[in-house]
Order: sequence, then structure tokens, then C-alpha cells
Amino acid sequence: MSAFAGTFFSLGNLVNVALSIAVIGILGVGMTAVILIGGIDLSVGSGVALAGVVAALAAHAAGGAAGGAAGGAAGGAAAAVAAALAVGAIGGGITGLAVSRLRAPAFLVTLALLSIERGLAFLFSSGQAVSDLPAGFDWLGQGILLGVPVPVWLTAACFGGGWFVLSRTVWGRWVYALGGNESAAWLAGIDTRAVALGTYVANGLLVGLAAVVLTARLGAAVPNAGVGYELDVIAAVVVGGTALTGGRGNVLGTLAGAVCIGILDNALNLANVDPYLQRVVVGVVILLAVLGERIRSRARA
Amino acid sequence: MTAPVLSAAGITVRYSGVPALHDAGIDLYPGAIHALAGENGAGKSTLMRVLAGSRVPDSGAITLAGEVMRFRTPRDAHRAGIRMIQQELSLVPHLSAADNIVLGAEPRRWGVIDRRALRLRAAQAIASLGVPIDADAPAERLSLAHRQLTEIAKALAADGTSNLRVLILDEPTAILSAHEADALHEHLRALRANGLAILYCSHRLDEIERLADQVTVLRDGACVATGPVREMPARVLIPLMVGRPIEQKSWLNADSTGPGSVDLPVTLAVEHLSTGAETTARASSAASRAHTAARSGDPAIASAGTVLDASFVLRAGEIAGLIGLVGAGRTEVALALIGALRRTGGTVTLRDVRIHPRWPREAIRHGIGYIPEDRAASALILHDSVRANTTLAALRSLARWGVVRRARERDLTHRWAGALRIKTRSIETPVQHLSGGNQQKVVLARWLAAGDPALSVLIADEPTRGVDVGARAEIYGALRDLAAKGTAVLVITSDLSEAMALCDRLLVMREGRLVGELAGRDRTPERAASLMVPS
Repeated sequence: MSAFAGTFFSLGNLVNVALSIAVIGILGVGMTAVILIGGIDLSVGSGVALAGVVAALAAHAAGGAAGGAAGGAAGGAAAAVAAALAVGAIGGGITGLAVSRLRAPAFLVTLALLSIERGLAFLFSSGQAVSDLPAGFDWLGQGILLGVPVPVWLTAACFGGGWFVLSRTVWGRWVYALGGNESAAWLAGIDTRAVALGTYVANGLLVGLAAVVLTARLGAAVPNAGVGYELDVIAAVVVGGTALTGGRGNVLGTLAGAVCIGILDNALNLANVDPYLQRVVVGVVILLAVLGERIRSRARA
Repeated sequence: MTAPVLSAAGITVRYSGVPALHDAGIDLYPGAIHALAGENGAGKSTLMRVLAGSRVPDSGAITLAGEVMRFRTPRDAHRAGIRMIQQELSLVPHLSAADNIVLGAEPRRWGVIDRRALRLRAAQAIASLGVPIDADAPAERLSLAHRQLTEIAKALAADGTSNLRVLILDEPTAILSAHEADALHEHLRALRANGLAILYCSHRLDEIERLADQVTVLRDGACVATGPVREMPARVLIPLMVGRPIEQKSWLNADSTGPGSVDLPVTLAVEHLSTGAETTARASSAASRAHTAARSGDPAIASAGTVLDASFVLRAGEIAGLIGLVGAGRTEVALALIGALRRTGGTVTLRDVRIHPRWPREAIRHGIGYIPEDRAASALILHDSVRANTTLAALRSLARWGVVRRARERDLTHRWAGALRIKTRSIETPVQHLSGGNQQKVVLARWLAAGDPALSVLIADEPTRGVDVGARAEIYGALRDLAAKGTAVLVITSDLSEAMALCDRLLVMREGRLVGELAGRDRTPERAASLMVPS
């Protein structure tokens, strides 16, 4: 057990944990905002795959394969990032418009997108991994800056930015108001449709960023990347105390939720727990976290 | 006197340590209506919930016909013949009236619902009330008054036996028009004649005077007085409720009894305003909810939910009252003015400029604020703080580059919380912990904070519904102050005594039309009432 403790608390392992939650963490920031307005996004896993595939294809189209000229490589990396963000924003825009203009239920719209985006990822990639990406792009997933992996920096920036926007800006306060009581927000002069649309587009941009990080880390875009991520992300948000009914919660809770699940996974791995049993343990912990929240809110009432 | 059917003594209830009831007691007699009076937060609801089994007291005893009872759940109380009708009605909207009446006690044969027995039992319960409720209509299609009576029929039909002994009603007339309230009172008198003990909680003292035999006054969780109603008129009850003498004063402008207010400058001129039944944004559940609430009066009123050719003016410095029966179109006028309901005709002129707000945001830019009828559903974010609720409509003016300046936000909240004397532990307390009156003050504070330096127009829809006497006076004072600063105030109210005490001029609506304007010597309750009721 002491060997376990020694490994677990080593700096290298802590960085490992941070790296392992980078993608889920980035997605968690967007998902927190979406859940705060009373919505949900089930399509983030598929969105990551599609944005990754399109990013990789864009890099190739811009002539930025690994062996290409330096200038072409930089252009390829930029094209890949731009393509990933654009794909994410379009997905978020579709959801946002359907939810805010047509009053379609977010659950069903994003369930449909989950299928559509996964299918497109396979179609565009012909079911094959798209590898051979520009070095500048790979750096976003594999590089080290000041001793810390680049994805960890990006994740930290997302949480910092998300926290600031949601808790300090007018926009953030509108997000809480919309999720807390849509009628009240509307009658108080808040453009509820713009807030909902903006929140889904922001979430889409974060899906694009998560796709960049994941693809760059793997060094290839894989059409079946991110399967089931939506559930891990929602779990992190909910364990972090954000109410699925909207209006209550924050990204710091989501960070704590993601770290909890990351540490748990990591510890169970190091302790050599049967991987099948690991899934069970993680599920039980999520259940306990949610039940604990219910019990606390009942005690308050 | 006969023995009480239900007695409670020494009841103490604490919510997370804070006492809500302290050594409270009450005796309910068969064949008597017992009123429960007190300010918001005095413990009325808690006492009713204890009697109805939905709250287990920390100490104290309940005896039913001499037998000590221990209610753990409402079901225990139901079995003992005690039923409570909640303020928020609890019918299942899509089920028929008959299905609702037998809900939870459906007659069964071999485990399958016996439809014929079900219909029979529901029909008996409805017949015993003598009201023409359509047993097959879904509950959501019934008028509010009929929904309330369906709840009572549900209590009467309980478990198929007529073992109902005590009926508890929490503010049953709060959502009814005066007309409907009178009808409900008739039914309650009939039930009283059948030997039922009725506990009746109400804010309306005139109603208590007309209906009840006994009255108990609660203040700060304790029973401060109990006695026959005829010995306790309003002038005795009010000081008992608030613990301090309250002058029943008039909030009128000095010259509103004369023709003086005609000289005031016109702020808003409305000409030939008509509406359809369609809200401006399908996106807006707010509008549709407010609209449904306004429409849910008597469906017999064919034109309910629309405004037909209404013309009137609102003047700076004056409080105008918009009165009428439920469904007369009062709320629709307000919703059309703020752009929540589509106008099908007419013009609105604000200080010589034609305006046509398409949604509330545009109305607010013109300086028109709206306090909705249902503050929990359409105004407040209940779990959010007093601060967040107060500044909701003023955030942009508090921000620099989109970032809210928190010190300014706190200052603004303190300023208005202080000016309106909002009673709260801190400005970070969630508004759900405030009493109804203080919640309403928060909504008012929102518009005072948003309307810096001053709003052009403030429309307040039933601003004192469910608000206790003390807070009511403070809200009246705040509205009068606002008018004195030059805002044109329009108060929509169902309470004629409120309209008489507060409004300088009365606009009367009936069946979607503006049928009269009463000012000066014409402004009498008799004139108002005769205009409101369809001839």
C-alpha cells in the first residue's frame, strides 16, 4: 500500500491525473453553462470526434502534413484549430437555434446530433484514423510549457475563464437568471433567446477545443473518439453540485467533480483494481454524490 | 357548547432551530367555521400543516374527538377525516374532474379500476356540493373556482365514505374573483350546516367577518387571541396581528377627490388598443403563463383573454387603478403595453412619441416596468439572493465592459432594501426565506433600482396579493412615493377596498372592454362594482 501511496502522490502522477481530465474538464466548463440555463448537451462526445476529423482533414488540405515545409505546417495547424472550433460552433449554433427559437427540447435535439455527428465523423474519415498531423498541432496535445503539459494549461484557462464569465459578468448573471426562472428573466428585460443561443455556441467552441486537445494528444483523429464522453462530463458537472434543473451551480464544482472522478480512476488503476469493477465503483461514487446532494437539500428545506 | 372535534395544544415546531410555532393551540368545533388570521410568517401555514399531518410537531398534542392522534403523514390525517386544501391547487391537469376526485382511492374490482363506481362516487361528491362541474372535463379546462370546488369534492369523496370531519382551507379565495369567492362561501356555509368543522385561513379581514364564527390570531408563532368573530372586528384584529396600531389610512393624492389630477401631464396615451390571444414570442413561457393565469377565470366570458378597443391615459404623478373581474382583460392590457402580448390594433404614445415594444426588453428601454401577478412564477428567482433579484433588471447599468461592479451592486441593493424596509438577515439571503410581503418588496425594489433616475411607467399587477397588512402599507407608501417623483403608476387590482384607498382614478374593464373611468366624486365603490359586473 505504501508503494501505492508513493506512486499516487508523486508529482508525475498528479500531472497524469490533470492530463487525464483535460478533455472532460474543458467539456465540463461548457456543459456547466448549458446545464445552468436548464439545458443539456448529449452530443459532446460525437462533436469531439467530428471536430477532430474535420480538423485533421483541414490540416492536410492546408498542406501541413508532418513532412511538409515549416510555413505549411504552421498554416496547417492554424487551419486545423480553426476548423475544429468552427465545427463545434456550428453544432452549438444548431442546438441553440432549435432550443431557443423553436422551443425544441435540448435532450432530443442533442440526441439527434449525437447520431448525426458520429455518422459524419465516420463518413468524412471513411472510418479510418486520420494521422500524420503538423508538428505545431501535435504540440497542443503533447507539448510541455514551463514543466506542465499544454493541455493542462488550456484546461486551467477554460476553468478560469468560465468562472470569471459566469460569476462576474452581466452575461453570466443572465445565464443564472435564465436557468433560475425563465419567465422572470424575460419580464426583467433579458433577451433569453440570445442568452440560450450564446451559451450553446460557447459550449460548441469548447467542444472544438476539446477535440483539438484530444486529437493532438493521440496524434491522429479517430472517428470513434469520445464515445460516452457526454456521460462522463455530465457526471462531473452533477457531482460538482450543479443542479440539472438549472440556475444553481458553478464551474469550480465541476472542476472538483472532474478531479474526483479522475483521481478515483487513477487510484483504482494504481491499486490494480479489476477494470470491470472500476466502472462499478465510479458509478457508485456518482450515485452517492447525487444522493448526498438530495439529502442535504432536503435538510435545508 | 359542544365538545371540539379537533384540538391542538402546546404545538411547537422548529425549522432548523428557528421556532415557527411556539406553544400554539386551537379548538375546532363541529358545525363551525374557524378563521385563522395573522401576518405572513406568523405560523398559519405551519399550524395548518401540523393539523393536516404534513408536518410532525416537535412537541404538543392533537386530539380528535377526545382521542390523542399522532399524524405522521397526510394519509394518517385523511384516515381520521381531516383534509387540507392547499393554496396551490394540486389537481392533475390532464385527468378529468372525476378522476381527480377519486385520485388515490380509486374503486377497484379484481385490481382493475371500476369506472362505473368511480363515476358514481365522483358524481355524488359533486352533487353534494350542488355545483355544475363537468366530471369528464380535464382539470386544466376548469375555471379556477371550479378547480377549487373539485378539490373540496375530492375531500368529500375521500375513501368512499363520508367520514370527513375537518376541512382546512389555506387562502382559498386568493385566486378567485369576488364573485367566485361569494359562491365558495355559500358552499362552505352549506358544509358547516352539515356539521363539518372548517378551518379557514385568510388575509381578507372583511371575508373573515362575513364568513367565520370563531377567529384565532397568530403572531410570531404564538396564538395571541381567540374568540367569536362578532366580538373581534377588523379594528381589533389588526393591532393583534401586527402588534402595533396601524392607521387604516388613505394613500390618495391630496386632490384626487377633486378634479385636480386632470391637470397632470399625460405620460402614456393608449388609443384603441386591441389584442389577440397570441403572445409575441412563442419562446416566452412567461407571457403564456401570465396570459393563461389571466384567462383562467370564468370560461363563460367569451372574450376573456383579449382587449377590445381600450383607450385611456396615464398621468405623471398619479396612481391609476385598473379594476374588473377576473378575465376582464386587465392583465392583457399590461402585457400588451410591455410587448408581451401582440397588439392587433391601436397606438401607444409615450410623451408624444409613438412606441411599439415587441418584447419586455424594449418596453424597459422606454422606462416601462411591469410587476407580474404571480411573483413566484414570473418575477422571482426563488433560490437566488435578495441582491441578485433586486439588481436583475439593472445589471447593465452596473457593469463596465460587461463585468458587474460588485460594490456598486451591493450599494444599490442596500439602498432599495433600506428604502423599502425589506426584512432580511442579509442581502445574500435567498428570497424564498422571506415572507410574501418582503418578497413583493424585492420585486418592487427591482424596478426602483432599474428605473434610475425614475421609471416613466410602472404597472403593478395585484401588488399586494398574499401580502400581510404591515407590508401592504409599506408597498402603498412606496408606490405613492414613486408617483410623487413623476412616474405614472398603474395598479391592477381585484380588491376594491385597495383600489379605493390607493388609486386616484379608476379604469373599469368588463369583458375585454374599458367600460368606465371614475374620478373625483364618481369614484365610489358602488359605481365601480356596478360597472364591473356584466348586466
